[in-house]
Amino acid sequence: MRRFITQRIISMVITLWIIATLTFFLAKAIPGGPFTKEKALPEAVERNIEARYHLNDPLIKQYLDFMKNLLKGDLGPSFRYEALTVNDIIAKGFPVSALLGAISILIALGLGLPAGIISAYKHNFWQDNFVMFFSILGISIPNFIIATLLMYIFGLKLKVLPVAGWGSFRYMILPAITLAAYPTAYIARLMRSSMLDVLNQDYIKTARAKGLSESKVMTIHALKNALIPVVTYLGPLIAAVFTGSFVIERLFYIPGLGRYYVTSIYDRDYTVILGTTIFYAAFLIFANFIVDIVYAFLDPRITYSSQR
Amino acid sequence: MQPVLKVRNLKTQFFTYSGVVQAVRGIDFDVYPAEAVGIVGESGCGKSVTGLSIMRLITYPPGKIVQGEINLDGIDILNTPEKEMQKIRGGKISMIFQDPMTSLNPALTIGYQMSEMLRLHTNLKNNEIKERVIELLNLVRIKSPEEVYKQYPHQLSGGMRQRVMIAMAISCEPKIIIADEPTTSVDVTIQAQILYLLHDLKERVNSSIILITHNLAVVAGLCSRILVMYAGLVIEEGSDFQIFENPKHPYTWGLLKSVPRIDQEEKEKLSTIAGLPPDLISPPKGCPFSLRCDYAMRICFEQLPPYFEPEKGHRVICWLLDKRAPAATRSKK
Repeated sequence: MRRFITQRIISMVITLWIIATLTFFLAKAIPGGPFTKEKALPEAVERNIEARYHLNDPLIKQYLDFMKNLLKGDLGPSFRYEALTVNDIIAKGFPVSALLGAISILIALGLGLPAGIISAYKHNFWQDNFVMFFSILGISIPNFIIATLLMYIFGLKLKVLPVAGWGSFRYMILPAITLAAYPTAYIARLMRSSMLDVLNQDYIKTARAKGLSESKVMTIHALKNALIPVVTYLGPLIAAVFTGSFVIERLFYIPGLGRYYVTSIYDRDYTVILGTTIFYAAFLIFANFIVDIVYAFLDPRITYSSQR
Repeated sequence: MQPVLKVRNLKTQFFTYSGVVQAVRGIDFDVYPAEAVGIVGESGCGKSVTGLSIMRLITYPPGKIVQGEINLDGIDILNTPEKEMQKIRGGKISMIFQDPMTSLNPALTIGYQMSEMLRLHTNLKNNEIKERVIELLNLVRIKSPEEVYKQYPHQLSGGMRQRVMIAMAISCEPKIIIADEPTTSVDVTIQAQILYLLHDLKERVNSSIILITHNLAVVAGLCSRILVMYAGLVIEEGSDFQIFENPKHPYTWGLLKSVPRIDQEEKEKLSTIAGLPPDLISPPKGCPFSLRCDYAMRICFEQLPPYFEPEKGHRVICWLLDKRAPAATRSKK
């Protein structure tokens, strides 16, 4: 197990380095720069600014400087927001996005797993059709439509929840539901198909032949085996949801991290592009690493030790 | 002596998109205490469905027991509420399945899977349960049971897993053990060991065994009574002597002929029964075997024969036994 973890950490560092390098050169390859405006700046001013941010250095030196700072954990200053460093932006935005993400994941698991289990257990009965109907809606309706519908119903018509802003728990309800819609539906479908597969296995017949009640057959014998595909999906899902959603944070006016992924690109805010991308990549790689460890707990056939 | 299990006119059907499959079409049989009964027939003849029907493990949809009576030790199985049925499954009837590789849960330890059964059907305390599991593992001759207790199914060989399944099946000393093809998916050497074990355990735990198999040779040493099934019907029933030495149904003749013999010439082809079993969505109106039978007469295609009883305890469903039929003898080779 220890050897597995060391190997994984080494490969994670290499992966991150490749991502950082690619992102660095791709960002620089976009035409224009952070200080390109419709009205050209006086040449002297432009040169001054470039010198301040070391943009006039040779590209390879810029890259090496960036890597040096990255190793120290310093992602550099933002070009767009003068007083902020990239570390500040992440430190301010991430807790907001992560809190919203965590609530959404809880909703997605809390609704999606039972829905999928019921749907598999009542395969082809009305319960199954009911769950599958809503899961198709959840997967196919874009989140900005769900968001506007929720705002209209709960904000404007019923006047029970705020339509935008960030603060107390009340502000989190609508965006969290919007953010959870797709994963809930996806988890329900995943759980259903994996559960159907497990319920057809011989060991479920054995469990029933032992005289176990249906609830015990489902929870003890089926669930643990059926959870693996859901856990696989949870890795990328957590990374995506915790780091914020551009659309949802825009619509609900939430000061999260999500918007920087998009705005930094048209601002040519190089350091923010790099910082957010590396942050997201690191999060994703780490989440997948945790998923691999969880596998070993769910399925005893998966071990990470060299000796058996 | 009273039979421990009485099955009367059992009919189990599967409602599929292509039609109603009449898997079991009205069968009767009795199982007496401490007796081993063999149910023999080729794939799709309804033998496994019979086993699952007795356990009431036919899932609806698509399967359903549409008619009949199953009486286990005075309990009317088909009219028992599901909650009561759970006490009977594993407690009074247990089942050993065909494939030991897939019949144990890969995510749970052997110890857990075995204890679960005892926890359900006995009043033993936790430490007593563990002792009993170890004792059972010893009984099915598993070496180092303490270690196996903590292991997962994938750490055991197929033969060992089947032993675990057998240990589990006998753990609550059931009235009846239904063994559905217990030797089909293990190698021949293990097969012999498993059969010997079943034979030995039958004496010890005083249970009756219903051995379901497609292989007459498997039944030979173990069962004192044999039912031959074909197309959802019991086409011949008799003692082991009657079936092996004096079979009456041409299908049984065919089955016996297709068992490879040790004195067979090396190059000699194995004997087979030509053709396929009938489609059970629309079974033939006459004898289901008539299409493959070398002795078929006109009446065989038109009317299902009644049961004839050439000897006490020997029933055959075949028109050849009618007084008016020409004498047909089994071609011996």
